[in-house]
Amino acid sequence: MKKILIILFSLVFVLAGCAPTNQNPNEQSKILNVYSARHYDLDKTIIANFEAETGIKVNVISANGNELLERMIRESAQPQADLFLTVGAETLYTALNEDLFDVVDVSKDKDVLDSQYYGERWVAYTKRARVIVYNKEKYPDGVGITSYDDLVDEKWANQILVRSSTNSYNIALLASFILSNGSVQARAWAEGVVKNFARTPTGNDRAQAAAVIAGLGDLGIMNTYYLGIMINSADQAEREVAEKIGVVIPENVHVNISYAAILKNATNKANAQKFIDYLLSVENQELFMNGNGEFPVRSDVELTDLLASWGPISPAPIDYEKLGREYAAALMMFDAVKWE
Amino acid sequence: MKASDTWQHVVSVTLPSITQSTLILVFGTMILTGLLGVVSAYFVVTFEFKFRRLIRFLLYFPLAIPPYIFAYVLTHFMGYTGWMQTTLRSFGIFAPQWFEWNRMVIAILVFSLTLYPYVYISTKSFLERFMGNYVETARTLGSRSTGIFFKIALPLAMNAFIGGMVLVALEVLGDYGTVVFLNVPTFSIAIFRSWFALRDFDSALRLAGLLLIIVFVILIIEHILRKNTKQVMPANIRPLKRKQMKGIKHIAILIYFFTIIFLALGLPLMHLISWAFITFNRIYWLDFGSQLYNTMFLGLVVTGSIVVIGFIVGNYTRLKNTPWSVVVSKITLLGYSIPGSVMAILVLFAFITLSRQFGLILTTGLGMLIYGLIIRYLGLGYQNIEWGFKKIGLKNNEISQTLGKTYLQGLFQIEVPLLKPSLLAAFALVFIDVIKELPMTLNLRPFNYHTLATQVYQYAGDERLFEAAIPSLAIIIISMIFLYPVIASVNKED
Repeated sequence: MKKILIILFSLVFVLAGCAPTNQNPNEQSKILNVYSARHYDLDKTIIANFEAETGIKVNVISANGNELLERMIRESAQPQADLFLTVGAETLYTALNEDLFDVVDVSKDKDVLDSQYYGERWVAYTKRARVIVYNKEKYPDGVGITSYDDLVDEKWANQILVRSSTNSYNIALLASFILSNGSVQARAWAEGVVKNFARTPTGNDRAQAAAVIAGLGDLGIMNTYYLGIMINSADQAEREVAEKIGVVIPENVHVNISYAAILKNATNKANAQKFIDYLLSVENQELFMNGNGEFPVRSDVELTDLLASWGPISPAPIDYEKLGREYAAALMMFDAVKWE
Repeated sequence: MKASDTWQHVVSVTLPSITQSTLILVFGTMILTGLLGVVSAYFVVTFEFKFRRLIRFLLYFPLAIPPYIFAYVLTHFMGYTGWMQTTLRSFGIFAPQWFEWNRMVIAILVFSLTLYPYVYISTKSFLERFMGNYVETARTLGSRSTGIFFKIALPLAMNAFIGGMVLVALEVLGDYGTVVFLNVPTFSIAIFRSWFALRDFDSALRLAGLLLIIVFVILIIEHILRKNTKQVMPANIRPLKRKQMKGIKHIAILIYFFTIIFLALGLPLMHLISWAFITFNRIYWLDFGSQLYNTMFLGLVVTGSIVVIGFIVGNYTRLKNTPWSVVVSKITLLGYSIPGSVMAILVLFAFITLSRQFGLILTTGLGMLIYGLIIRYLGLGYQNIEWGFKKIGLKNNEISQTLGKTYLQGLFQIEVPLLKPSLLAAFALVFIDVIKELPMTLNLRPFNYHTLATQVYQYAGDERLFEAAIPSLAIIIISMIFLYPVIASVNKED
């Protein structure tokens, strides 16, 4: 009896350990394997629609972008995924240096895409902006801020609310400053903001908005898409916060991209390309806007009223392929200026 | 060149602050869980008061609540949109500053309220068995309750107490999800950050090494302390006659227990249940079904394996009682204290290398995750089983051998039933740790594989706490179901 149990037991292990092998490159495959650092329910819907329309089965592993990057580097001889989707451009620099990606074809949509948002081996498919928020009831005429530099002004002492420096959105923001203005200016900015902190960074972006309305500080820094989501929140108190929040889009606003890339040596490259085209289609660009509050990358898609109400966007000219180069420096700079 | 720059930065800027934070967090939690666990166990064992049976039963259950879920709830509760402030606002009281608590305080509270049962369980079962003899004597000699507590109960239970405290310390050191959410900088986070954000594998490895040294030190201290406490096993175990509480002492005890149970159980459950009602329509129920199935399958396979392996190793080391057995026992615990986030990556890279060597694809099946989880939680299961073996000793088997049975017959027919409480406890504690596990499950899973825990994490990371309620409740309810037999068997003496 024991022997039978042992054999059965080992069998379970062996079976569990074996993966279904569906890698037959000679067939016109109906599979797409994706590593995704995006974790929104909306993406699930889009994938389901893609599967229904094309008959291609999409397999996803979602994890943190940096972890997936490490995994792709280690697996580069035998990549287990065809497509990489992520939030934030920080991984792009390393990925390109490690030659992880294959060329991507954007010729279909090139006319409606801004050249800042795609490269030879990657293409952004949604955007969000990192903006400044305030309480409309307290400042009915606005707060008189036009740029990120205004945040270091002494008059905002003890008024600035922002999330922790460990968050990738903040790191990307500072990295972009290091890239465009150099370390000295970037550090001076960070120090100035820390001096004006209303409190030690606590909570996520939405918590900053709530804190602004709670009167814990006059200015908050957060991503635009949360506002789109908060308006439709299941939490009534959160909806009220979103209604009272005013938005300032600073000049040279930091735009955070979600990008897609096809892995080199991938088995199902054609399907990966198909999926990218799908993400860039007008209907899905509108879905990202309505479902997740994100900005489309296509210029021929009209903004929703909510997104348009925030004001015109003049994005900072960031070279997204280089942004990741300053990521580590930005992290260490945050430590040095004690932005926790 | 870059590597040493980063390490320089880590040593001069990061290391002092994470060392300080980690030590404060671990010791703070140990102190609070120690207090809660011991005091609660002592009261429940020594005194008679209203609702005692219900209370001593409920005190176990906070273990079923994953600390990161408790952290989400507590933060929301005290936040601007939470019940506290919203209720106050409806009375015209607008005071958000009152709720801006220090993150470390919140973290210690979160860990203490979810982990104190480890200390409660081990201390209580020990006190129940052995206090009777000593307390009766002490009472007839005129000792008051506080004297009995400090001079008899505490020293007696020290061994069990230390065991429980060490588990708490290791859980805190190994945690990633909770400290990341609360933004408390610990070794666990620093290792992760050096590795991925700073892309400096060497620094990460050195930090992991330092963490392991801390763990070693804790385990060595534990070993020394436990060796020096005598295991006094009285010949006849006298059940303790509990002293009936009256008057103000009675009320005080009830308030004490009500507060703990409300904070640790009532608060999170009330929040999660109300959020579940609100988000009922927003959940993908088909996904929920498959997540539930995956969670159960993974939990049962990993836990079953650990109990079997723990049993085999425990049996072997008790027969050959060499210093090597002690080493083996402590090594299994190492896996438990390495943060899951670090362990995940180590396992992943090992499997990628193996895949390359053998030309197989080992990284997209479930085996990698199962393997990783077994290594991580083996120590937890093994501790319980080893303690069970120690309790029953070899004499039962020796006696059965004189009666003609073989060693194995003695083992399975006589000793396994005696070991049932430890095996049950090992199974339950490992199972509830496995189903709430995050970093390894996230990184080592196959395509399209979701568990309840990964779904909670996805919603929480998306800042959608309300939607996280239903999968959270599922985890908690399943954990409670698995805890119940352990609690029932431990309490059946009464």
